[in-house]
Amino acid sequence: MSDIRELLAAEAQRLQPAQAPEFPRLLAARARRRYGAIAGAAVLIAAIAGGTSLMAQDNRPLDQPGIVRQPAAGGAPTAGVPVSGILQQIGGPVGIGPRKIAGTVHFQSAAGVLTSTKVTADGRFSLTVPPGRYQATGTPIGSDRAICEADSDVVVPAAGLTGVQVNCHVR
Amino acid sequence: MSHSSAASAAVSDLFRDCYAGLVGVVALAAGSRTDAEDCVQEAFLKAFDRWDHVSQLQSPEAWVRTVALRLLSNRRRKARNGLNALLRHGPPNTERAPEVDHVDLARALQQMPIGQRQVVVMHYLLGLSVVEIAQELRIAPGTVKSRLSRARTVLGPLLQEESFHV
Repeated sequence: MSDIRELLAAEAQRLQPAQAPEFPRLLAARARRRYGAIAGAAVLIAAIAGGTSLMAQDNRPLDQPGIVRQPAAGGAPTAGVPVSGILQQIGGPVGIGPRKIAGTVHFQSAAGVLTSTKVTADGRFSLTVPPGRYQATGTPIGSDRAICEADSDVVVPAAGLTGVQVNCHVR
Repeated sequence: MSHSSAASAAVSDLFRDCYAGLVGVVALAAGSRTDAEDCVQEAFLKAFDRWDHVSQLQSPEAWVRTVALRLLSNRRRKARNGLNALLRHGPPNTERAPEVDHVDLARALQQMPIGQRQVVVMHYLLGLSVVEIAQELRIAPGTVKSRLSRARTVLGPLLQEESFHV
């Protein structure tokens, strides 16, 4: 009977590969895997961001056909300024105050350019638009129509604007 | 020559000299040469990443071997790497047929869980003590002893001596 160490050594010898890869190729393969992972993550993030943007844009008011759309941020022909505000539900039973709701807010310029942005559950929204006069409307989440609007046209100055209220009136 | 290229050259030399032997040893514990190759390759990549430290060690080869054996412990990783290796390299090469004397050993190793194979290889082939194995695998010495004890039950007929572990 052979010694266990000799048997193990012989078995290890038998299991040795006939050929070995080049180490630089391993490094290159790892670099490719890392690059692929990063690129994949970037594509995923871009897809999610793009999908969100498209979702926001597809929630445009259906009673305003033929409008020109642009991304919520970036890509504007003129420099945009920040605008922020809230989307809220007003009315309903006595004693129920304004309630912040999620959805989409749309800013339509006099030229018909529409900028949309998603509204989070706390009702807050922000977007970037060029200074000017806008009609602000809102689409509550779950609705396919813009049934909310600001009480009057929103005038965005060059310094930006905060506190815009887009109201959804309920009985 | 930059630091990175110097490390790459040094690790390439080590890889060329030791790769096959390390795969053979790790394959004993892995039960699969494909898994062993994957672990050894990853261990070499880790050695490259930490070459400033590894190059100062008495035996960089031992460091790579320990890391490769430790990598085997993660079963989820093992399963994933098996698939990755298959995708990268294709089906493993047909291994040389074992000689008759080795059949019993191979069969005995196949009966053991990976933890037992690890300690068997490290103890009986590499000659490490229980304490050394415990340190390298980051497990308790008692665990090493119990694994060796169970392994001895399987290996029993193949063992000439070793009635206790040191």
